[in-house]
Parts: sequence; C-alpha cells; structure tokens
Amino acid sequence: MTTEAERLDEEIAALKADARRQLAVETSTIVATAAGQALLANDTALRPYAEKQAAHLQQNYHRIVTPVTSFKVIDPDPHAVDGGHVLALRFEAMTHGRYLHQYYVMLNRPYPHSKHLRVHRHTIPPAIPLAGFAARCLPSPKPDSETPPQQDLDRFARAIRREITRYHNRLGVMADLKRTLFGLHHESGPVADDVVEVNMADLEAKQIALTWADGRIGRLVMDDNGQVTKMVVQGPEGRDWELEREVLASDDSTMEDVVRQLQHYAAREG
Amino acid sequence: MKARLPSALRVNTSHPSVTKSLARLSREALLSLALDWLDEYAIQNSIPYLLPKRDEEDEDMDDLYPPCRSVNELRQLYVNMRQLKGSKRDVVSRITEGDWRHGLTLFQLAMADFAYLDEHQTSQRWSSYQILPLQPPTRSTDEEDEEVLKVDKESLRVPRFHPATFLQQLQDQILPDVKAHYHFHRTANLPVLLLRIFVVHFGVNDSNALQAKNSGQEEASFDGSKTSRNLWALLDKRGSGRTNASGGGWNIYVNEKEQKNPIDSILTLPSSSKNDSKGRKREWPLNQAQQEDKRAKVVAEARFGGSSTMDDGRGVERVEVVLQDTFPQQDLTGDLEDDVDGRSGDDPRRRSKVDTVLLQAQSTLDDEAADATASSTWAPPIKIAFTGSHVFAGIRQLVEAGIVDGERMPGWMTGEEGVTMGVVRHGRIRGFKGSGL
Repeated sequence: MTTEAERLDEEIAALKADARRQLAVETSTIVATAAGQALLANDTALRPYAEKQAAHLQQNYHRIVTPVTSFKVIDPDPHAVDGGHVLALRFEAMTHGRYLHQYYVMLNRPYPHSKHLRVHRHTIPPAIPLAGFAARCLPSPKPDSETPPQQDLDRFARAIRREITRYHNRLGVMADLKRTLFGLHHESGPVADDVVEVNMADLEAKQIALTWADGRIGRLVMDDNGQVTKMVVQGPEGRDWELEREVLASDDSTMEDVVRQLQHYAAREG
Repeated sequence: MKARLPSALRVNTSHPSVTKSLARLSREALLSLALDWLDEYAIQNSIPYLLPKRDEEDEDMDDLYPPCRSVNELRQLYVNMRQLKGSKRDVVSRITEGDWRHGLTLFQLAMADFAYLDEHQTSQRWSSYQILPLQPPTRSTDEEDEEVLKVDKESLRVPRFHPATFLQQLQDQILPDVKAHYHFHRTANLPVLLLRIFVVHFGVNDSNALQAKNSGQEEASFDGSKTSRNLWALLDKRGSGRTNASGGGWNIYVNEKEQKNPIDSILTLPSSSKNDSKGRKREWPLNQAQQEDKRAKVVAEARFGGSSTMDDGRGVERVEVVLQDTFPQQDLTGDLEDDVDGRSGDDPRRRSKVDTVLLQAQSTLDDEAADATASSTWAPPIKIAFTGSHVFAGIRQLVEAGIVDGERMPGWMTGEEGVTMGVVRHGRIRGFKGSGL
C-alpha cells in the first residue's frame, strides 16, 4: 500500500525531473543564441559549456544538411594501429522525414608505410554488402606491384549510403504494403481473395512473402530501387497465372501499382 | 534416391533414445510437449493411442491408463494434469505406457529434443560459419582436375538462404545408406531457424546432430572462429543485426539510447551526476582508494561500453588465445603468472584446434616484415584460456575491481574482436577479426 508520503515523494520526483528537462531546454536555447554566447564568453565556468553547445549545434547542422558525416575517434585499445586514430563515417537513415537510425563505419590505417584505409569496426547490418564495397573502393595496398591500387573513400561512402537508403526504402515499402492490404474487409472478416499475411522473405528485404485468406501463397521480388520485377502465386492446384498476370500488368510496376491491383482483385469478388 | 525417414515413423517406447529424451525434461515441459503433440498442426505425426471405435464396451479393466475416446478428451486430460501436482515419472509413464504405448514418432522425438533445448539453452555447443560468394569457374567443367574456386571479395551479392533448398542439397550429399530424419524448428525467443538431423544407423540410433541456421544470415564455409554454448552470444556477433562488428566499447554506436537525433538541439550534459553529486560532495575529497575505484569503473565503461555485463545473456564460456609477442625486456616475472593458464596441454583435441588456428595464421602474409626483426628475440609459446559462465563480463568485473589495468588491457580482452579463439601478435588478434570483413 502506498502511503501519502510515498505518493508525494513520487510527485516531487516527477516535478524535479520535469524541471530538469525544462532547465536543459532553456539553457541550451539561451546558450545557442548569439547574445547568450557573447554573455558567456567571459565566464570561465560556463564558457566550456557554451563551446560544447555551439559544437553540438554545428554538428547537428552538418548532419541535417548531409546524410554522411565524418568524425574522429580514438581507439581505446593501447595496441591499436596508427596511434589509435580512427576515422568514423556516420550515415543517417531516414524515412518519411524522420530520422530512424545512424549507421557507422570506422576506418583505420593498419598498413605500414601507407595511408590506405581499412574498415576497422562498423554497425552495418549484413543486408548491406559492405565487404564487397570495401574490396572495390578501399583495396589494400600492394607494395610490390607497379600500379598500386587507389582508394576512393568518396565512392565508398556514396555507395554505402545508397545501399542503406535503398534498404530502408524497401523496409518502408513492406510496411506500407502491410498497412494498405490489411483490413480491406474489416467488418465482415476476410474474403478468399484478401491478403492476410505480408512477410519479409529474405535478409535484404527484396522479397516479400504474401499469404491469401484461401491459403494461396505468393512471392514478390523487388529490385534495388523497389520496382517489382517478379511475382509468383501458388495455389492448391498449382500456379495462379490469372492473378499473376492481372497484378503484374507491365514490366515496370511499382509497389503502388501492385497494391492497387491487389486491392482491386480482392474487392471485385468480395 | 534420398534416404529420408518419414516423420510419422514410430520408435518403440522402450528404446533408450526415447526414455532419455523424455526423462531429462521437467514435468511442466513434458505436459506442454504432450499438448503440442496434440495440437492441430502436429497431430498427424503424433497420433495417440485412442479407444478403438468398434469395441467401446470391451474395455480392458487391467489397463493402468485407459485410453481416451478422442483427441479433445486427451487434450483436456493433459490440461487438467497441469493443475494437479504430481511427479514427472507419472507423466513419462502416462506417455510411454498409456497414450503413446505404440511408440513415439521421430517427429515427437524431435520436438522433445527442442523442448529440452528451450529449457537448457546452453546444452549444445554452436559454431558459426559464413557463406561467401565464390568467383565463377574460369575453366570448363569437363576437365578432370577440380578447380579450387576463390572467394569473390568484390561481390555485392548478399547470399540468400532458403531452408528447403539447403535441406535438399544436403540430402543429395548424404550417402543413401545413412537413414536420417530432418526437422526444422523455430524457437520462440531467438531469431534463428534450427535444423535437427537425427541419424539412424542400421536401426540403432547412435548419433544426434543439431545444426543452427540463422534465419538472417547464411553460413556454410570459412570462419569457424566463434564457438559458444550460448546461441545469443553467437547471434550477437554473427547475426543479422548491427552488432556483428562493434563489440566492446564500440557498442555505444549501436546503442539506441546513445544515438542522438540531429534535430534535437539539447546537449545532454552529465546533469544526472550533478544531481546526485550532492550526496557525494559531503564525502569530498575522496580518499585515494575511492578515487581509484571510481576511475576503474569509468575506464571499464570506456573499454566495454554497455557490453559484457553479467546479466546480458550473451556470455561465451571459453576464450582461447595464443600469444606470439616477444617476451618483454623488463623484468616482469612476478606479474605474468596470473594470466597464464596451464590448461593448454591437458587436452590433445583442444590443443590441436588451437594449433590449427596457429598454422592458419602463420600462413597469412601480413606482419612478415616485423617477423624478420623479431625472430632474434625470445617469444615463449603462451596459450591463455579463459573459462567461466561469461568470460568477458568476468574480465569487465576485474577491470572494475582494479585487478586488471583497464587502460593497458589489450583490445581483444574486451571481446570486441568477436572471436573465441585467436592468435595475438603485437597485442592484437591477427587477421582483422573485429571488422567482420
């Protein structure tokens, strides 16, 4: 049983937390203004804070403007190569105007007498072929060869960013598909031609497994850009060619076209 | 001709593999297992012994476990047994002498094994392998000598794993006289698909293999440098997420809480410490021991990040490394003994495994220049084995307690290289293990 005192304690704690949050917002707002910066310039206690805030804001501006940003890290390992100097790339993943994740690739310089970079650590999921891009854009040096391989960090960063964006777009397409296909016949329960299940069928989110209410199963295959390239529907009596033809009418169907056709198909008989 | 034993094939209940499978389960697990068998999707492969329809009057009075009339009745019976108290033995004999007296199917045995795995998550040892794309063969296929295909490092294809196709290929490779039963299982709490292969030799079951198949990532060749009893630990470093190549302190870049949205302009200062510093201020100044204690904790936080805590469930139970560094020139004889574990020689099988890694490492070409100069100095052969329920959490605790110097500790001791076996040269695991590339 909670006593009155305990209840008051909780209330006080909540109010304190609220006040702290408020304080943090107000301080950062004041410090971020030009006037605030000027005021704090001579205050030895608060100047470091003002500088940190300014740096933080600057970092944010950069991150908002460019989807790939870089920063330097020191590897805490005392045996780290190159004195622990690590270059980190930050990739922003966003969908529908919202920031979702950041992905990081850390690069170091492990090769003696060479400024060539190498992927040291990263947070890229295996759905993105990081190793392939690293081998293409950041080849390791061959000291004995006459034509030393050139590294292209710019190309590497662009390629990884593109793959991350595509991956997130495909995930988004899948989520959209779920949202629009479900609940077509919400009140009366699903009819035979309704799609009742939408699942990711592979690691890269390029294939989508569909299940219809009458037990037919299907597979949609997307290319890199989210264009639907193939569709297979299997029913109890074999391929459902009719549905496949109807849904994938043209060679360059987008997922929106497919969804429209599927809805049309379900609504026709239902 | 594929030797694939049907799931509905029955094994006599007196068979040792049946009694063993059931005896190691708890009462609770046995009851829910029996209910799973009676579930709609499973029932055709685990048909219970029911009262024959024709001779209902002709009931055998001596029967200790009179058979039920329908599956529903039987289901209700097991649901009721859950409410009652009783011994595990009762349930086992009810299953083997009553409702499944005519034998348990291979399907039921497979489910029993997975029920055991769910109860005892560390009962199996798991290894990870990676599927790598190969370069297409350059020579024509009709040539006699088989070409060794190279790994296509520049490939941008993410290998796709299809369980049914994998199983088909696997069965093609297995000799027709090996009789085996294959069973796929998806565990509730792990993003992984498991394939159980139950091999029967000439009617006598004597081998039982389990294979892990990560539903995200394929595996098949190369890179067996991570083994563990803990599947979570394996999936953490070889899974389909973002944690594969960001172990140790690097895991702050995976942690959602640490990631800041660029639209959020508020700089999170250590305000929380300011808040509770009131309590600490009274003790100010800290004495030296307290300061060291505090520092050790901060250092541990820096080196391990949020990883390797005792309760994260990602513990590996054994880590082995071979040190190839030269002996330090200064006199350190007093310090070294703590780290060196004398185990390396006691198990020839284990040693040979480490030696294999050693040989592999020696065949790689990097560090060649360093070798030439180092060969004149003395490098004692040192193998270190860490064992325990959670090796890296243990090291973290040693750092927090100030026993291991967190600042001088090499990076591989944080687990960030993601291997359970490796060769250390110049203070680092050879072969760039930590990047996962």
